[in-house]
Amino acid sequence: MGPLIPEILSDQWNNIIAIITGMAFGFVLESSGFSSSRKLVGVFYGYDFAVLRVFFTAAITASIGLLFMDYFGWIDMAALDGLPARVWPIVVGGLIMGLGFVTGGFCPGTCITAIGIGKLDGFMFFGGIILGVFVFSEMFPLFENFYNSSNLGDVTVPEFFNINPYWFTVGISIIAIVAFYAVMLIQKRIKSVEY
Amino acid sequence: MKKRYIFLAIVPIVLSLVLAFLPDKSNSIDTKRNHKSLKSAKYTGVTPNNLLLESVNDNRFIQPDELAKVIIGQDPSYLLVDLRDAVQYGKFTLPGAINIPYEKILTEENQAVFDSEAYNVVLFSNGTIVPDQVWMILRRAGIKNLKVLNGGLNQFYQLYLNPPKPLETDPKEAFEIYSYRKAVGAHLGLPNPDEFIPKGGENVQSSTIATGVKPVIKPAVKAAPKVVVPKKAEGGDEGC
Repeated sequence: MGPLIPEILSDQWNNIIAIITGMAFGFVLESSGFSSSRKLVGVFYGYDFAVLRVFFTAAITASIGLLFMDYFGWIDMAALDGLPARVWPIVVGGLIMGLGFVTGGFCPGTCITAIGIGKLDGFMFFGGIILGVFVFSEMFPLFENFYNSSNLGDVTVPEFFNINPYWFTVGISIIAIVAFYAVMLIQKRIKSVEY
Repeated sequence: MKKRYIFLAIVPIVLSLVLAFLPDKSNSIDTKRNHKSLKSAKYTGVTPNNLLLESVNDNRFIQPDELAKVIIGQDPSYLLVDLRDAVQYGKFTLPGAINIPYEKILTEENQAVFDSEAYNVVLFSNGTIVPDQVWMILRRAGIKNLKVLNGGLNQFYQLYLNPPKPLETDPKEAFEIYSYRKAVGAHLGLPNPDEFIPKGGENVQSSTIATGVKPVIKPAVKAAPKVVVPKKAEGGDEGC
């Protein structure tokens, strides 16, 4: 986490702020119904696009908010860490993640939310995560080369294509709104599912 | 479609457009440092605001009593840097101090000395003005762990060669500090000011700390009473 409002909140507050935002995140996930695997997988079958709406909204809210806070000097964007962009490993990892999502009905965060309200499938899914982490760690030497391949380093899309990050955010916002409208049309055509 | 959704859809687009049309905040220096092409300022060193805050508070000072503890305890986490010229350094300096004349602080090898995480660098000179200027320059260059000896060598001398004697009505702590300072002076074996100052006892000024208090001179030191602070013949560095 970067230095949020460095003159007022020192670095020692980082963990406390992280816990508070984490609790708020869990609360919002649960209150928007994300502890239900049937609601989550709706995005794959076309009867509920809450996942797409929530996460896309979160992405544009966060990017606009961060850029504003950076502009006002409340946070130093350069101090924020990004994961290195390893193109092909991310594609493969995304496919595996998507497969787990559509079969298990959770993503890692929402399964914790489901455990929070005592859902058995949440517990099962979490056990699967631990098992997967164990298998991955034990087998890591086998695909270590692939894991580190096609590494572009810590870049963002505007940096990579050398475009203005502010106009990029405008573009993403417009794409998000268009996507919301499109999925609304799709949802109307699909027979609604009771869950 | 509900009006609420239309409103909520307009909000992010308007906000991001506002962001795109905000005036560019960075000036020319920032632009060079601005690798991520964002509008806000990017500094690698200390920011001007922080430098201002640091320069108006006293945190950069190390008090003579603290420094005396460091010297007596031979604390390896402190590096004493004498900013006076080599002649004065040759005549007298604090135990363990190295000499970097203030004209030479920005040479490459001296930068390496200052820019070390391993120890705190204590800057001192006869007074406080030169070390303060050096502190400002080095701090702006992003060097941390810098300390300035409060009062410089002049006050250091005054405190240990000729410590202000507490009054009889003073609290017990004042007497403890007094005897501590006397012991420190004896431990350091400070030279006689008459021998140290080129023109001897004429060229000294009266104590500022011991005003109204009769100074007590250690038996080993044959200095005139109330005469401690060496006054520099040449300009450049004032006393405390």
